[in-house]
This record gives sequence, C-alpha cells and structure tokens, in this order.
Amino acid sequence: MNRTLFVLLAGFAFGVTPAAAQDAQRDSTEQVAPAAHPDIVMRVDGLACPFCAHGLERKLDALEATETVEIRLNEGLVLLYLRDEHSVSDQALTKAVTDAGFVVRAIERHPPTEGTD
Amino acid sequence: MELELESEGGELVVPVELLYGITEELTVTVVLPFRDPFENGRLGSVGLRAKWRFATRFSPGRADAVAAVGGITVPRSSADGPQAGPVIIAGLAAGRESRRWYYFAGVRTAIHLADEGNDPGEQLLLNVAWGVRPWLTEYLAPDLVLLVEASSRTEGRTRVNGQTVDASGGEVLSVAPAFLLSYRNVMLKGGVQIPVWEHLNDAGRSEDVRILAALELHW
Repeated sequence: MNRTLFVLLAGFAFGVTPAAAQDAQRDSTEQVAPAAHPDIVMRVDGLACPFCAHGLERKLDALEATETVEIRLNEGLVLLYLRDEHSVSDQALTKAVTDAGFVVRAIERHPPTEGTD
Repeated sequence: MELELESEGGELVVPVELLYGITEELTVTVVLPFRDPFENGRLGSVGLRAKWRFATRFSPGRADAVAAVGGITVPRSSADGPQAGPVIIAGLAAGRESRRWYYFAGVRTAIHLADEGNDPGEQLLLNVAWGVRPWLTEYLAPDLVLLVEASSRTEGRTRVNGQTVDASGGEVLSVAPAFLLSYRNVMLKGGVQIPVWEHLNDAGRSEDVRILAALELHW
C-alpha cells in the first residue's frame, strides 16, 4: 500500500495531474504560437519562486484578451501576448497581478497604445 | 491542498490539509490527519487554522512577509486515546524569499484546554530556517530549494486531576535538513527532523527522529 501511495505521489510530482496535463499541452502550443514580440511587458515585484508564479499565470490566463503568458523569473518580467483584436487595460492587469499576490512595478506596451478593456 | 506523510511514535500519519485563500492575505486551512491509513485507518484530531499575512514588502525578485497564525485543533478521543480538550494555536511568522535565498522564522504556542481533569502542558515552538536555491531555473523548469531548519519545543508539565505529573514535559532542540522540489503547481517536500539536544522530564522518554514527506498542489 505504501508503494501505491508513493507511486501516486511520484505521479503528481511529475505532472500527471489534470491541471498539469493541460499546462503541458499548452506549453507545446506556446513554443510555436507566440508572436515575435510580446504585446505587453510587465515588470512585477515579488517574483521569487516558480511555484508562487503559477497563481500569477492562472490569473493572467483568465483575462479574455490573453493569448499566451510568459514568465521570466530571473528578469522579473511577465510577457503577455494578446489575441488578435483584443486589448486589456492597465487596471485589469494590475488587478490580476495584485490578486495573485504580487505588485506591478511597470507596464510597457508594444507598440505603445493606451490600454482599453 | 497539501498531503503529508509523517511517522509519529511509529505510527504513520497522513495529514491532508485543504487551504483556501479567501484573499491574497488571508488563508484558511482545514487539517484532516488520517492515522495509520493502511491498516486501521482513522481520523485523528481535526484542525482549523487561519493565516493572515498582515505586512508585505515586494521588490524585484524578492518577497518579504509577516503573518499571524491562529487555530484550533479538536481531539477525537476515540482516535487518539485519552485526550485533553481542544488545543488553541497562536503564533507569528516572518519570511523572506528571494530568487537565491530563503529565510524564515516563527514562534508558536499551543495551549491545551483541560478536559476531564487532563491538562497537558502548554507548548512553545520556535523555528528558524535558511534555504538556498542552487540553480536559478526559469518558470517552466523544475525548481529545487535546499533548506536547513532548527526548531525548539518547550513543553510544560501535564496536570491530571489537579496533580502535576513530574515525568512530563521538557525541551527538545532539533535540526531538519529538507528540500522543496516544485514544478509549476506541484510541490514535493521532504525532510528529516533530528533531535540534537533534549531535556525531557521523563527519563524513559526520548524524542524520535521524524521523517516528513509532503505533496502540495496549487489551484
């Protein structure tokens, strides 16, 4: 029985949970889908560990305009690729980051435009 | 959700912790410890805890936080044998996590409420931890943190029907090497808590080495 549980734990650890499977599927898409330049680059404070950053990815993913989220921990950056014909306001971005437990230091848009919802 | 494996007095305990973040600062946890789950599995003392992160400071690649913790554990006498009443837990914790380093310190007290004349001594627990992330991997890579934790537990003497039990309570100092291994929303924790000094009032009692393995899933 102990072995069964250990195998179960190991299975979780290697990402066979439903959420992890979805993430893995999306990862494979992300590698080919992103545009050359992100639409939005956010400098986010408090990004220290990948496990904590997962909540941030989920919050930003939940925004309707989001196509892909890329988190660069070592640079403290979050790159957002938006769906075509979609935009997102600074307020919505700030709320998503704050709700995830982090703080936005700066938001930069490419090309620079005023964000709208 | 956090699932742990602990060995306690030779008995395997699997506390399942269900955590819910009401806000980004306030988290509540229900602890359901399943004792000896593979033989005569039964539910141990159920706990309810709250953690309020009341002070935070964020900077690039770093998060500092101070939190108050409180809770109550309700013993189930049928599962745990003769027991005292509920246990009130209160404490403070402070931590700093950066890309490379990890620091944590906490103080906690557990106050047993007497029940049927059985009044276990209060506990004071102190712990400090230091950790390092040897490889600064990016978000989509497995992340490893190595930790060393030092903890002390001071326990007062038990009173039964108003009489102090001399052979009870004492102090224990332990050191625990541990690790955290995470990939996205899945974290595996492991460690061994080794008593390095003890002054227990019961000469026949000795603190056991404890092994901890835990799995945390984050939704």
